[in-house]
Parts: sequence; structure tokens; C-alpha cells
Amino acid sequence: METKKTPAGLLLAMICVPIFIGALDLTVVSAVLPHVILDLQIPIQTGLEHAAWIVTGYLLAYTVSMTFMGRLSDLYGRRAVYLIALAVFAFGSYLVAVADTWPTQLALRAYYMFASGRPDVSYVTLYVLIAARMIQAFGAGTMVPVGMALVGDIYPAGSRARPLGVIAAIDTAGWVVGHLYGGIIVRFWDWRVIFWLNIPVCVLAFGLIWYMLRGAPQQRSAGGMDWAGAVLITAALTLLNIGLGSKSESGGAGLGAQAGLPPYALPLILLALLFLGLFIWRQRKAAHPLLDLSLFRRRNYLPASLVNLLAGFSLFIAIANVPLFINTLVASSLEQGAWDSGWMLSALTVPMALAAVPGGWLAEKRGYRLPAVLGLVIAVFGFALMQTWQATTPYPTMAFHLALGGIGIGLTLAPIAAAIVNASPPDQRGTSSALVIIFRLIGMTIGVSSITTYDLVRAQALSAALLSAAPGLGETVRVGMEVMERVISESFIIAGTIAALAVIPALFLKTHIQPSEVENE
Amino acid sequence: MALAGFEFLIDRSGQPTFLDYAKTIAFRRAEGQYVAPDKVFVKVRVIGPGLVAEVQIISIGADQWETNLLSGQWQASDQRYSFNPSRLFNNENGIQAILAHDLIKPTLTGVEELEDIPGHKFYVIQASLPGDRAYDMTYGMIDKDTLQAKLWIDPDRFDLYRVAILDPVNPGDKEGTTWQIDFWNFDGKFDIQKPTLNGK
Repeated sequence: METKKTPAGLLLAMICVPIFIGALDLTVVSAVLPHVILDLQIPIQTGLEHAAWIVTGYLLAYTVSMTFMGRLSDLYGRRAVYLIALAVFAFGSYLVAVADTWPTQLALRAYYMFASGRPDVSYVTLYVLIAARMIQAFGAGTMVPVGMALVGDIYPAGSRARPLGVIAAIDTAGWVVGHLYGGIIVRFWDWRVIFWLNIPVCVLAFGLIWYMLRGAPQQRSAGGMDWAGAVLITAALTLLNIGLGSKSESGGAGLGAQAGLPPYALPLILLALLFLGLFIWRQRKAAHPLLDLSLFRRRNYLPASLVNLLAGFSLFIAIANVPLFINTLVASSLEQGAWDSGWMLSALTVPMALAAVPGGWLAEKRGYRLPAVLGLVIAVFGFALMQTWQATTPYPTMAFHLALGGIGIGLTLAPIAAAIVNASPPDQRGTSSALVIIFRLIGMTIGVSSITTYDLVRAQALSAALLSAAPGLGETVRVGMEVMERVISESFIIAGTIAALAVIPALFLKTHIQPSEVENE
Repeated sequence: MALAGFEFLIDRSGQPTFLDYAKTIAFRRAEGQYVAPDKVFVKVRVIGPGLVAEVQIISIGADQWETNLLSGQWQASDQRYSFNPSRLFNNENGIQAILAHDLIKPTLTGVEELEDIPGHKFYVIQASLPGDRAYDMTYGMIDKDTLQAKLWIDPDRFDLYRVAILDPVNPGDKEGTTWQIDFWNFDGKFDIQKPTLNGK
């Protein structure tokens, strides 16, 4: 693709801006979710599992779109697909901002046409909001692989690694600061402002990218799109998240309404695994597969992917639990809770991003295994300290523990990403860069689904055990605080255990791979 | 409304109506079932400081139980603090009695189609309502001032489908409070039993 009129660096910057905003919206809701739940008047006991889909739905759609929209851009042109994705993201942002107005009215009209009874408007708005978040995420997720493919078009073969690294870093930076951005916004304005602000940026980026890439020759691949593969991977990831994130309702209206996993949870998870198996089978047979499975036969690829998945899982347990801990046990108001959560999560994610630098340096000097294992051990230590938190634990102590966890994960992620990309043949490095993000996102998505279920089910069991036969409001509040403290503590133990498990595949990482080995593999 | 039972939804909009003197817990909505003469099952949603919560209540005669906010398990209600839904449908001073005897100058103002039942028109009656009767029925959630009421009645079956009661703006409030009460599934059969209590 010729881009003589526009410097490549400027074009890269323009591609990165929407990717950054899309990634920002991955975590922006983690700090403001209590605001949204209160604003929509969703009851905390029976509605939390549904409201969690505001986060899970975005992660899921973001991940799913990354798996096949890159291929679609090979067929239909990068510029068109990127601009459509940008428009979809902007439209989704608009729908989120206005979810409780005309989209809810439209959904209610549709309900009245096909059903009887009285729908709960709060839940209707919630479902509209989740759908809007998924539309937003589909656009945002598409921009990452298509942006990476655009880099392949813009830059010559020998100089693609640095801009690809820039896109991956921008994507990570977005979700690293998302919760802080959300916390700051809701401190001063309504949570909807987060989504309104996306729109002018998207409009500007749309105009500039459309202009800069105008007239550029559209290189299109021959062959077709593996739609069956796209459907199978979408079904597998969706069913897995529904299965892991579903709770049964026993008829009560407390946290005890979630009496454990419903009977359909296990079949859904098994069905998801079946679809995943079919996807792998399909990728082996398809003429134009979405994923080149031969990559996984390369040394380091499989263990690094597993470490990435498990690290993403444990990382998101912390990202989900810190706002929960602060909002339920520490903060005096929702605004304070969002503000404090944003800053405290930065104590996790900023050191994580900074630790990637020594992580990369250590990987170059001592190989991938040492920094990956060292990082995981530090992360386990950080999670072990987090599980000691009580309502009285001061913020500086919590920040120190979170920083340890962040440094550990950060030390691990950089060598893992390098191990995957360096194990790839040169023409597959773009795909591999996207796979690094996809595996981490899958881990994060599964993490948020399963930890929400665990927290609710465990809170029910603990509160039933601790409450007396006819507790008053005072006892209920006291036990509630104790239960939340214990459940969150247990969640951090799970996060630490997952991080410890990740050490096993990390030990299988080959210390060094010479470039000649990659070419010959 | 001499019925075996029905389902109902009470939805408040506008100025919040608090359930406690400290003005920390506001009523949002209540949806449930009534079985004549004295059984009610209802899910009550309230808005507290920083969270929205839902409590289920079963009322049979003079006995009442509710779910614990935290565990969801059933426990006997503390009558001093609890909301008694059976009072809403009491034959002497419940909503049926008020609508039958206390409406002031009820006037048929026309027919209207409601958006939740497309293609079906209802008779619309407007009237005033003495606030003290509503005040007693709702434990003070509705003020003692004279209220404006609007009723939607099914022209085929003469069932009361919806009542909207406007509680006017009080000094210091930004807006009034609108109470919308819907009734449906008349003569439906509902099984309301004493719940299984926490075995401790």
C-alpha cells in the first residue's frame, strides 16, 4: 500500500489513537461499575451477575473480533475494514451513553409486541447497555489486528517489529490506565461522559485516516474467509463465558439467591470445549484457516501461550477485586470508591507496564525462562500479601502489595511476548503479536466470569453459615463486611495459585532461540 | 375487585419516597402476587446509600416473613420496621376499598392506548383522592394532601388495568412523586405458602 503523501510515523500515530481508546474502554468500567449499577437501579444481590456482563461482554466481543476480523481485512481491504470498525466503535459508544433513553424505549416496544407481562425496565436498560458495550468492543477489537496488518502494508519487511511493538504497547497502555481514567471522570462528571468523549475523537480519527489512506492501492488477498471457523471460535468463547459466569437462582433475594452453579453450566462448558475442538479440527482442514496451528508446534509457542493465558487470568482477578474491596469495605461514597479504586489499580498496572522493560532486558541477557519464572514467583508473593487485607489496611500497604503483583506480572509478560513473536517465522510475526494479546484477553475474560461466580456463591455459603436465625440489620451489615473480606481474600489466594500454576509451563520455555533456529524450524 | 387473586406492580418515579426517618432507604418498586383474602408475595426494591437492594416478603394473615439482604434466606419479619404488603389489599382500607369508596368526582375523560398493550384501548377516568386514606395504607409513603388519580379500565371486562397517583410537589422538592400501580392476571392461581425458614 503506497503512503507517499503521509509520513509512516504520522499514520502509525493516527492508527494508534482509536486502538488506545478502545483498549481504555476494556477496563474503564471496572472502577465505575458500582455507579452504573446504582444508576440503572439494579439490585446488587440478584443483578450483579448480569451487570458483570458490562465488563465480560466487552472483553468477549473484543477478543472474538480479534480472532477473525484481521482476515476479513485481507479480503476486503484494510482501510475500509478499519474505518468501518472505527464507526462501529463510535456508534457503540453513543449507544452506551444513551442506553437508558431511546434504545430502552425501542427494546420495550419490541418486548410489548412479542410478549406480555411487565418487564423490569432496569434490566431492559442493562441488557441494552451490555449489547451496546459489545458493539463498541467489536469495533475496538477489530482495530487491533487490522492496525497491525496496516503496519505490515506501510512498513517494509525489515522494519515492522518496532511499529508492531508500538501498537501492542499502546493496546496494553490503554487497559492499564482505563480504570484510573474512569475513576477521574466519575469524580467530576456522570459516567456517561466517558463514552461521549470517545465520539469526537473517533470522528476526527475517521476523517484523518480516511484522508491519509485515500487513493492508496488496496491489496487484497485471494482465497476466502473461514466463516465456519469464525462461528465456531465465537460460539466456543461465548458459551465458555456464559457457563462460567452463570449462577442459579434459588428464589431468595439476597446474595443467597445464587445457590451455586445452575444445572446448565457444566453442559455449556462442555459444549464450549466441543466447539473449541471443532474449531481446531476446522483450522486443520480449511483452505484458508484463521489460525495457523503449525505455529503451536514451534518451540516456546505453546508454553508461552499457556503462561500468557494464566497470567491474564490472575491479573484480572486483581483488577476485579480491588474495586470490589474498596467500594464495599473502605470507601465512604461511590465517587470516593471510583477515585480510590482507579489510583490503587494504577499501583498494580503502572509497575506492571514499567517492569516490562527490565523483563525484556533480562530475556535478552538471560533467556525467557528466568524473568518469566522470577516474575511469577514475585506475583505469587504479591497475591499472598493481598490476601491479608482487611478493611483497616492502609492504602500505602495495599499499594505496595499491588505493586509487587504488578512487577511480577510485568516481568513475566514481556519475555512471554518476545518468546512467542521470536519463535514465529518473519511473515507470521503480525499474527503472533495479535495472538499474544488474544491469549491474555481470553485469560482475562475467563477470569472475570469465573471470579464473579466464585465471589457470589462463596458469599452465599459464608453468610448462611455466619448469620443467626433472625438477624437484624446491624448483624447483617457486620456479617456482610466479614464475608466480603473473606471472599476477596480467598480470591487473591486463587489468583496466587493460578500464577503459581503458570510456573509449570514457564519452566518449559527454552532459554534462548537463535534467529537461525526460527528460520529452520 | 372480589377476585381470587392477581399480580401487581407498584412503580415509583419522580421525587424519592423514603422508608425511614433518616431518609437513607427509598422505595423504588414492588412486584408481586395477591391471593384473597390475605396472602401476598412481593419483591420490594429499595435504594440505599450506594446500592440498590431487593427483599422478598411473604405475608399470610398477621404473619410475615422476609429474605435476609445478605444470605437470601427467609426469616420472620420484625413488625416494627417491616413493610406490610397485605395492608395494600386489605378489604377495609386497602386500594380496592379506596377506589370503590373514596374517589372524588370521578370523570370519564376518554379512551387511550397504552404503549405496553399496542392496539388495545382503555377507558380513562380521572379523579381526586383524599390523601389521608392513601397515607394510612402506605405507612406514610404517600402524603396526606389531596392527590390526583388516573385510572385505565379495560372496556371489555371492566378490569382495572392501571392506576397512576400523583403526589404533588412538596416545598423543597424538585418534583412530585408518581405512583403507578398495574394489575394483571386476574383470577390467576398463585401458591403462596409459609417459607422454609433458616433452620437455626
